[in-house]
Amino acid sequence: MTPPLDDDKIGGKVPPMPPLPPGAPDPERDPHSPLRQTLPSFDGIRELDSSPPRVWTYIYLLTFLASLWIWVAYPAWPWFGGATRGVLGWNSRGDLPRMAELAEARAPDITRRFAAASWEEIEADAGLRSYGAAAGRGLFGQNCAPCHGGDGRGARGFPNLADGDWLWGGSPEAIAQTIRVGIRWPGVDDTRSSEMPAFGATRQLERGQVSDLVEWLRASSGQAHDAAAAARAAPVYAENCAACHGEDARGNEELGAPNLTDDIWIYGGERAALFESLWHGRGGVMPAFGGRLSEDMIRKLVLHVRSLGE
Amino acid sequence: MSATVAAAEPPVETEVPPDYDDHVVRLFILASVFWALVGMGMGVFIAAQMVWPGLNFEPWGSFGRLRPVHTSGVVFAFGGNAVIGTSLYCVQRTCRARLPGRFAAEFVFWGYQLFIVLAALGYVMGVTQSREYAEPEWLTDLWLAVVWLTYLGLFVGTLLKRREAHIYVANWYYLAFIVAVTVLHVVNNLAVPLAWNESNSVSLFAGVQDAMTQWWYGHNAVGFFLTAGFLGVMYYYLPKQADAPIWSYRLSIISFWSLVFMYMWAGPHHLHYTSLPDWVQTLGMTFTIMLWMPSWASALNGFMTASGRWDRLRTDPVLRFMILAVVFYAVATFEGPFMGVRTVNGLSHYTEWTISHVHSGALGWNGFIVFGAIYYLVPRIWGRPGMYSRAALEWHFWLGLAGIMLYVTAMWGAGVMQGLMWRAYTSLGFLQYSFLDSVIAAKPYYAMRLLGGVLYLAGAVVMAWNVWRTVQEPRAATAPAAVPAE
Repeated sequence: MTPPLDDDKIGGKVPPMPPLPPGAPDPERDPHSPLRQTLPSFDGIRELDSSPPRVWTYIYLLTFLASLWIWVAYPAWPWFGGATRGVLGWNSRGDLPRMAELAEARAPDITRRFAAASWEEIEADAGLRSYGAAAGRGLFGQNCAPCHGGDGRGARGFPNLADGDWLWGGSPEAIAQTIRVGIRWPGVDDTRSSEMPAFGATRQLERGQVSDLVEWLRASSGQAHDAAAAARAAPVYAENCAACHGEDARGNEELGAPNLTDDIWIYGGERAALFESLWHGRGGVMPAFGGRLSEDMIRKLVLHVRSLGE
Repeated sequence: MSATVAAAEPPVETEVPPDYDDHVVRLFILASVFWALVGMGMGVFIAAQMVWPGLNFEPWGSFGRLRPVHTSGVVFAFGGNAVIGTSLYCVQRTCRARLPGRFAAEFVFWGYQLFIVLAALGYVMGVTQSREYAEPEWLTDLWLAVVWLTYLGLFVGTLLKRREAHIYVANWYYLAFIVAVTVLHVVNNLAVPLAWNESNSVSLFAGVQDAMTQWWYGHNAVGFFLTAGFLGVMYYYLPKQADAPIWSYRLSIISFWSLVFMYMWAGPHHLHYTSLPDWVQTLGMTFTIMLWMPSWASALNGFMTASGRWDRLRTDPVLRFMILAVVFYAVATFEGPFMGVRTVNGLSHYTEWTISHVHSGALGWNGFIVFGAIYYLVPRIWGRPGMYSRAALEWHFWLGLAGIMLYVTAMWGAGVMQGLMWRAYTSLGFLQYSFLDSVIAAKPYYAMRLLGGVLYLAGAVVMAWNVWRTVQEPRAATAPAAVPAE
């Protein structure tokens, strides 16, 4: 059997209502109705019949009036051949050219000058250059920052664009071309396409030779290294690596082969990362933006990217 | 609880109450408490993923798969079980009639749990139809339809057996909840399976009509699941706990019919500035505006019902849960119509402001009204003198409230900041910030949100412990007078 509920544990007993002063309105009586309550109680719950407060009713009516006005003013109800047009004549399709015109009219004069200028004219004009870089900053944030970072300093696997060190060339045209065609981007015929082979995984080099090359790389980039191992690797380098990275190991922008002497690394310069690069090869991908961005946008991006290192 | 034993005792009431079927109510309440921990725990985990993206364990543990586990876990599992359980308790008492079928009641319970498990397993395995809040695929949907129609039969069967001349207002809301959810669920999930033995399907609708059907459903999931169902909870458990009469029967009628009529048309405000035709956007927006006062009428009725009992807010944490729930209901239903206005939506849409709005409703209104109802029910359906620990009630309340405050303010700040950043232009007419900038700027807010979620979850853990101890407590074999009052 259920013991009676202990009100104190459940949350406290309800104190009885204090007696009303004579003449005061009965709080359980609705002023507009002679009834104290409307229906018999349900499971002990009684219901009063108070009127909604006036202010509530007025605001409710006001929302109806506001809606009526909106229905009259804007496209709102389905009607023969589409929908009512609204007395203001507004619609989002008509709004778009209006806003484009507005943007065009408000655009600063330099926008038109930049669009009409040749690359040489832009290079010669500091105003156009800084305008383009400012525009490129916005484009960079939307298109490039997810990989290269908001400041263009990259991350492991994503090249730093602010260090003045370029894989595929740092001239304006070379940067523009990289943006257009991407790197190893499928479906683009003239994409930047060479890649670092997997010397270990394909058994072109023995494990010991790869380990020696790691020491050679650390030596060439001025890091702590095992001199004997590095010396052993010199002929291995000449035979396998120099073709792309050059006899002097300063890289080759034609092939996107990195400079190995500057201690700037895409995938890290520590031993494990170097070993991984040599063993499995590398082949990071950058999308081709040629179809997505206009030439005007790419010029602005080039100006911004070149300003990053400054 | 059996009638024979009850008859042997001195009658407490003027009439011996019918032998109500509370077994299934107990099951639903326990399930609600259990799923609260799962759903809210998942919420805390995905909030942590927003702070530390490394916590995305591909593919099963990625944010995209776990997020529906959180939303369905709290809305349908925690909230759904609570609303069904409270409705079956309420409808029996306000109709003075027992549930018509024991087997049907058990079937609804176990069938509903099976639906939840099937849905959640589908989410993490990537079986989804990608409709927000309606992610389960066709087979799971069909199963839910069977279970839900049985629930409808159970509820209506009790109403038909009633020994009262009228139907109490809470039952209007519960019935609206059951009927509307049936319609919404069936229509939005109309789909053609790829094959009879394929788990995936293709929606019957295409393009903008598909989007509109989904958001007609999505908005009314809020309107009829999270509003009507939980108003049913409020209309029974608030006056019971406050021991006060419903303030206005008239307002109940006006707000009920306004609410069910207006809500149905407000869905398009989820698709402002999309390819949805202008007229649909305008029409949906106006119904959203007209929905404001009907929502507030329910809140007003709740407040005024508790009016005159304000002193008990100090002493009664259960009533405090319920009143705070009504406060958050009023806040969220003021914010909602505001955000539904096209131009405001232009700032708020796709930002964390939406998340703030949803959680002020879900944590504040839905969570707190359910916590109140659970604390009201547990001692009664298990026949205990009260909850095991009164201090735990206080702890739960304040942990929960602190959690909501942190969560809602953090996401509100983050949302407005994002909205302003995305529309900020430089003097040359270029976007001032990239999307990435706004993600980086939101990170401290995400950390704050995580903390809020942890506090709220901690409150739910306290509740689970308290409920468990109350259930485990030996039934008072001694006379009630021997139970020491705290």
